[in-house]
Amino acid sequence: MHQDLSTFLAERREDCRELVKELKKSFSYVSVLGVDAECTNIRVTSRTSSVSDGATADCGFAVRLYDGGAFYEYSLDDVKGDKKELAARITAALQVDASIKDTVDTRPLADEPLEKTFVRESDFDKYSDAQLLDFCKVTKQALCAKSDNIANAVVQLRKQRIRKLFVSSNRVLEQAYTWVNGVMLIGYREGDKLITAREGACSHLLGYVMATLPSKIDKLVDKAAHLVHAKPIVPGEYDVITDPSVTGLLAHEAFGHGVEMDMFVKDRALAKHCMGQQVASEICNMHDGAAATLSVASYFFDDDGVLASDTHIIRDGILVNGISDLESASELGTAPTGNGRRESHKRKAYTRMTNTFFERGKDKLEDMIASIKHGYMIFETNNGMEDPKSWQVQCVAEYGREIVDGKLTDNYVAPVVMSGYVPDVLKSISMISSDFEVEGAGMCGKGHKEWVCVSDGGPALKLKVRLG
Amino acid sequence: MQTMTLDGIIERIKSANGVSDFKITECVEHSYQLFFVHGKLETVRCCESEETQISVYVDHDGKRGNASFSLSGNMSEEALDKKLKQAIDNALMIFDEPYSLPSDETSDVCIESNLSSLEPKEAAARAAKAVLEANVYDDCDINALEVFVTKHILHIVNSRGVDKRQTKHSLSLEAIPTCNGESESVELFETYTLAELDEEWIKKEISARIEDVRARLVAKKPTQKIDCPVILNAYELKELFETLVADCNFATHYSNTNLFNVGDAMQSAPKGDRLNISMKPLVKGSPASSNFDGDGCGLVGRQIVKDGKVAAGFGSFRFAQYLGEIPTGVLPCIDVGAGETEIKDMLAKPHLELVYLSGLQVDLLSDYIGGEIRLAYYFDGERRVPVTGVAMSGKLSEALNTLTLSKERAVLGDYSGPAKISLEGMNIF
Repeated sequence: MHQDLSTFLAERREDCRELVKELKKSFSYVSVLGVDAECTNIRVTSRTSSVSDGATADCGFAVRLYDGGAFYEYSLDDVKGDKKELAARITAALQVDASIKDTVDTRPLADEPLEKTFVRESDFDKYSDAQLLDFCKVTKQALCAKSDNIANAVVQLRKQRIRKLFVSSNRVLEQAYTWVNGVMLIGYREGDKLITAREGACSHLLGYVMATLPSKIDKLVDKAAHLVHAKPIVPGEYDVITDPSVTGLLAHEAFGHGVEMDMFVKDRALAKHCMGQQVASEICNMHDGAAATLSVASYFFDDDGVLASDTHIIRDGILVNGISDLESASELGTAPTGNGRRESHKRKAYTRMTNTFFERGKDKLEDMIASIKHGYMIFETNNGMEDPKSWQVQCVAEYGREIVDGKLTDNYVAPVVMSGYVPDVLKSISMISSDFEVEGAGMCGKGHKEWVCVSDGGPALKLKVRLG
Repeated sequence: MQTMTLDGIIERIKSANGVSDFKITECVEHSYQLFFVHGKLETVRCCESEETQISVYVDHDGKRGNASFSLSGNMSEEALDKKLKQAIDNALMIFDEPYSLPSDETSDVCIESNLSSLEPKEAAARAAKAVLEANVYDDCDINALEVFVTKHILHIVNSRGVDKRQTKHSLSLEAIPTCNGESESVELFETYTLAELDEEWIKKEISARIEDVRARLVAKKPTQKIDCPVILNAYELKELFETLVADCNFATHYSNTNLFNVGDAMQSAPKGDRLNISMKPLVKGSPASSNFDGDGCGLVGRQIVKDGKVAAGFGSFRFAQYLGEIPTGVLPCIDVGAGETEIKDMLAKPHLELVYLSGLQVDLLSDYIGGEIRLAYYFDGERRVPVTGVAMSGKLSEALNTLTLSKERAVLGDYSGPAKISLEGMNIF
């Protein structure tokens, strides 16, 4: 079943064209991005329920103007009305104080002709909110029935229906796609100890998520029962195996942010000077791209109107490509890669990651575990922080399990903070599993703001790294 | 821009069948933004936005359900009616314990700021100039700078006579001081949200960060294990206390996910200073200050930790009712009582003063505090040297027992309190 394009955006398509035409009288490049994104959170906890709009709900327009030198943008709720008047309002609002004179060097923005509509299969129209609420209630009850130690249970579905329109002088692009993140979270008490544990599922199809979440209930409760006895890890350097979630976090923090090419423009990334050099062990291959796999950050064109792609970032351990938005490509004189993303129509587009992952390898996970005398397998992303300039990295995993004499034990440690120097960490990768998983439940900030949905993942990696 | 008036929206809600109560939240944002790369203007942005959120509450079967949705600017009356019906249907599926909404409160306030009297483009330019002029070194640069001058108007109306409007101004800065050596270049990431434009403060602050980034260039990984008290600055203290106060929120207690109850000791065996924490609506200089919360509930400050023990909770009108507590509203500002130790005395003893972390990890449930240190100053009693490439970790409960709070205070975001706090027992590795 396909989903509909946005009626609202369709009604404004001609307004956008007219506004572009009007502003083109004063600027060499004009584009308008229209966004109509619905996000509904359906949430059931042990004691409350709610249906509300989620953080990624967004409706409005971002106008981009360029005439050499600096870029100009104006965000507004609607483009209806007199275009001459609106163009004058936009131009007046973007005036700069006379004290600011110097602008960056830029090249003209490409505007290759293209008119196309993209729609992805969706099953959202098969389920009412009431049905989804009912699903959450039933799942919550099933979860609570598993243990008296569950202090609180949360079951949540966050469904997003994204529809965008991009209009410039030569391009009219439209896209519509959906994504749903389902999560089960429990607070688990034993004695005076309280921990939280989670399991999730995500897809472009509600049906898949609703089938998958209940199948993870036993795993979730079992995990919580172990985590409540988790001990702090003894800080030190260990042989470590990362699960696909932590592998993805490493890809994201270690080299994802470092190859965002707006960081090259600002001389904020060491990777700028390391193209063509070995930065990881030769068995490593890493990608990013909205078209690289199907996950939460898969779209057809980015917020700059550039078509999605699959960028091979690290090939056989060699850094070969970065990712970029339209503006940074203009400043660097490179081709944009379809990575221009905005938190909402109200925010600037930056170079952002999409779906970032390591390619699968040839090793079996059991062989990887068997190869470790003493170490840890670490699981589930909590958060991470990059440092593209100095190549430090910090990744926080929810928990780890000790490996002793080649066997995965039930000795849980939590939380686990992995840190180190990026090339040392990546060059230490000695085995890569043949399985592969990308998880699309994450949000990524640029600095401490500009949150966008991202996915990351890959296979299990064996590496040597500092845990604390 | 909304095409329907507030009165028109209220009329549609009142004419919908089954609505017991409603709340309308209007957020208006006018923002002017400048982006610089290496001191040169890269992007100029303006944002004009009005958003409306509608919540409906439906009493049924002795319970209460609620659902909310956004009203986009283009929405017709028919589309609003359809959304309302769907929200009412959803609310009928929700069986929460009954609660009432705040009632009969009206106000229209503007939180004082010198930004209100300045043209946004002038304020942004002056802020940018203050940041860029703070650097006096040839080997340093502000590689990137973002400036946001924003006027926020929040208006909340409900069916019980709440009609409150608040106007706030803020100045947000993101600056990347960078130092370029012969073979290496290093940076720091600095972000501020300020309630006022104070160019002298900005210059002083950025100058200090430039000194730090110069130190980072020469910072080395310690050759020997460091074992001394760790000093946290306002950035880390904000993280630490946000985590601690969240446990005292009524919503956390109602969901049975709190660690501490009233009377419990956050500091079980304090050997240092005792914590006193209050939640407040307004703190001078704090951009988090507010006169009311998201329900339109007037805010009443409350001391929640006294001498290291939990003294009270705080939180929303709804969850206070559930717990039989007096509501305070969701108080936005954390105020931590200062100590009696002057910073100069704190810094006179051996210590590791954190300047820049990947991110302080504070986990109350795992009893953990730690993080990767990107820049710190180590003072061994004789010499103060910049260090990098180490991490720290420890038990939060044990660290809280060893606090030394500075006499001097700082305000950063929602945190106000000691400018520096020293804690012991951290493993630095």
